[in-house]
Amino acid sequence: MRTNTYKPDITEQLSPFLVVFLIHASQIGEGILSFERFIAEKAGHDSWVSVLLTGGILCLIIYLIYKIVLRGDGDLIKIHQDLFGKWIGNVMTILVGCYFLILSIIVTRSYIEVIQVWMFPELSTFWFSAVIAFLFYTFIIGGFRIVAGLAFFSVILSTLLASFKYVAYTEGYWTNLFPMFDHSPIEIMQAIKPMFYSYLGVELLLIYLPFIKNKKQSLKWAILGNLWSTLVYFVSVIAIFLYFNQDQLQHIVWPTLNLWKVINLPFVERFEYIGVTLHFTVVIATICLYLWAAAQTFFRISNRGYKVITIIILVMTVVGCNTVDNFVLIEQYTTQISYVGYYLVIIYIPFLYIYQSIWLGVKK
Amino acid sequence: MRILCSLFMLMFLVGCVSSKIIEDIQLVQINGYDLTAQEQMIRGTISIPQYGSSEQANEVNNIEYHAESQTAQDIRTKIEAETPYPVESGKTLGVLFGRGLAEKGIGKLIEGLSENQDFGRNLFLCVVDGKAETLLTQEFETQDTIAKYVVDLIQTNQEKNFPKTNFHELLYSFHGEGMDFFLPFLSHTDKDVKVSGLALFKEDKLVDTIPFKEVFIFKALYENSDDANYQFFWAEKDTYLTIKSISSNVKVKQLKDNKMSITINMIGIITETLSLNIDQLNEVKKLERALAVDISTKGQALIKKLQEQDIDPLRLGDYARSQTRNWDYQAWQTSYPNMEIKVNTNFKISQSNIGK
Repeated sequence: MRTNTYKPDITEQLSPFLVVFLIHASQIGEGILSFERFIAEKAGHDSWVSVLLTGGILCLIIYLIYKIVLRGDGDLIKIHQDLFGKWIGNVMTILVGCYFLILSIIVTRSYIEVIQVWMFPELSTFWFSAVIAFLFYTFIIGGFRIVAGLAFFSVILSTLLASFKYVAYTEGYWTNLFPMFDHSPIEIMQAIKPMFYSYLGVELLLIYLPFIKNKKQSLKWAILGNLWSTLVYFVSVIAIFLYFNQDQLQHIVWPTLNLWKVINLPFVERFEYIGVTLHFTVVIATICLYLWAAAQTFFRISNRGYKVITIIILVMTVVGCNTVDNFVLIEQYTTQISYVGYYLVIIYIPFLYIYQSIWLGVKK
Repeated sequence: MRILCSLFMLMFLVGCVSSKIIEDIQLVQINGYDLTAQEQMIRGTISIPQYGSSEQANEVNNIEYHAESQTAQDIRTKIEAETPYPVESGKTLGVLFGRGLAEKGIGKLIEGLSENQDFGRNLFLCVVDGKAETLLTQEFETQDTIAKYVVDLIQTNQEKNFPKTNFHELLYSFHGEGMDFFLPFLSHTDKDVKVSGLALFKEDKLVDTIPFKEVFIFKALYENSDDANYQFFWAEKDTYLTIKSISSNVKVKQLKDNKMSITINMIGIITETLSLNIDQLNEVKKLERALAVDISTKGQALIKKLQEQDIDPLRLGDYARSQTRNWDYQAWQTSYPNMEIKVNTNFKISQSNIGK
């Protein structure tokens, strides 16, 4: 049985290089289907710069997270307790845990929406979420190593799917990218905020880093994972901008799926059906990582059984999926939770780092 | 136990959506939309192939259904009232618009099609001279279904003289600033269908057409291409000859606010020149120059015509946008009709033919 400590034993730990897959899988999820529209709203055809900038910022954040975890010698729960005392620390941990849970609910719900819109309009949200909740249960109960295994498949598939954007490079219009840097730096900065939703996932390092052997060594792998995601997003954003012009892009909800509509393989006339289906694994990996992090967070502070907590979390996921039953709400909630994630990563983590530095200085 | 449990859950998933069995649905291959006689409603026609059930009777028949309504979706609902099985449009190959409807505007229908995930983006849309309904109900001498016939016709022509059009290209120009869309223009007799030119649209209304013989010029101005034929009258020698362009490359440049230049670099083969004896270098140069001047003047005239109609199917506005910082769409719209647009052509004859 699992023990309730921040020091997992060797049977639960992973090799450092697997962090590449964990970072990439937790970042690439549902956002890749639609992020181009949100960033293009702010900075038009120049918003590919924001994609690279956000990737760069995330490298710094990853470095900070490593510093925090290595200096604190434990996961977020222990660090919170050390820094803010038991009560305030636990409250903050619960808030972060709730964020993990809500984010996974939103991602699940928006993926179900994609299936409903693109493939099966009659698909019942309740039954589908119930069945995948069962799937999540088997993964999460298996522990972190199982979730990491899923992340590996997710990376293979997301890279494969990104390569199917090649049609845009052969049939798109390069004039769409010109004139370059026609938008002001402020507009390009503004596009970073909507871009963040697609890059969220690095904050999970705060929870799962103790599960990695040789934490210090894994830093370079984490950065590499983040750069890999940046590359995938960069290839995607250029593909979409070549293929659609800016006014057309604002009329399209999932540009990637619309792009796949023109791929005509000998055995399947419309690639988007394959795309949506294969994307399932990619999304499942993201959700499982977040749900696992939520379960782990609550498990660490509550002293209850891991199974019980997982079941409670999954019941909440199913209920959450079914309460959001409107496409307007889905988009609204996605935006809101992505802002929470944005502030968590870009403000709270640097704050935590600075506060920890001061605290360590005082202690000395 | 866990495996049993997951199998059990999978059974629930099967019940989540209704299944569609291929024998129990009717697959639409082509849609047609026309204006009704009172010009109040849209008359929709769909063509569904009926495949024979036995080997003796495996001939393909088309069955057409009609309905009239204001919206495309309602037409579908009314048509379903006539058909024994549900109608599915996932395999639709083409959509035809009658000329009358196209002149009144097809924006709403296009938006409706673009919102429906059933339709692919390789869909062919065209305008029919006359009514789409008469074309779809006509019996033609063809082995295939009417949809396949029309679509193959357009597709083959696009590899040659016709510019590339499909549903994605249409939406691209329809939503984009500084461009208007165009569609192939079909006409038909009792026996066959032919592509007779291009239908040019302003926003969503048909305003003009280009005849077939000018489509070569249009294509040269519109996109790079590699296989198109053009008949040329050489005034100097008082003869007709046909060139086959094997590579054509177009560059659009905005020179000043009110001035643009289009450069076409074309490499071609000449045929039917046996009587001309052009084996001297200066003769070849002469022909090249004559051809270049001919294409340039015709291109210039075509652009003049487009400017008079205030339409921009060549996407010149988009070229201007990509070359101007802080491009102003409003300013472009006002200056476009009076803009000075110059066409330059460089023609190079690369090979002759096997005759001497």
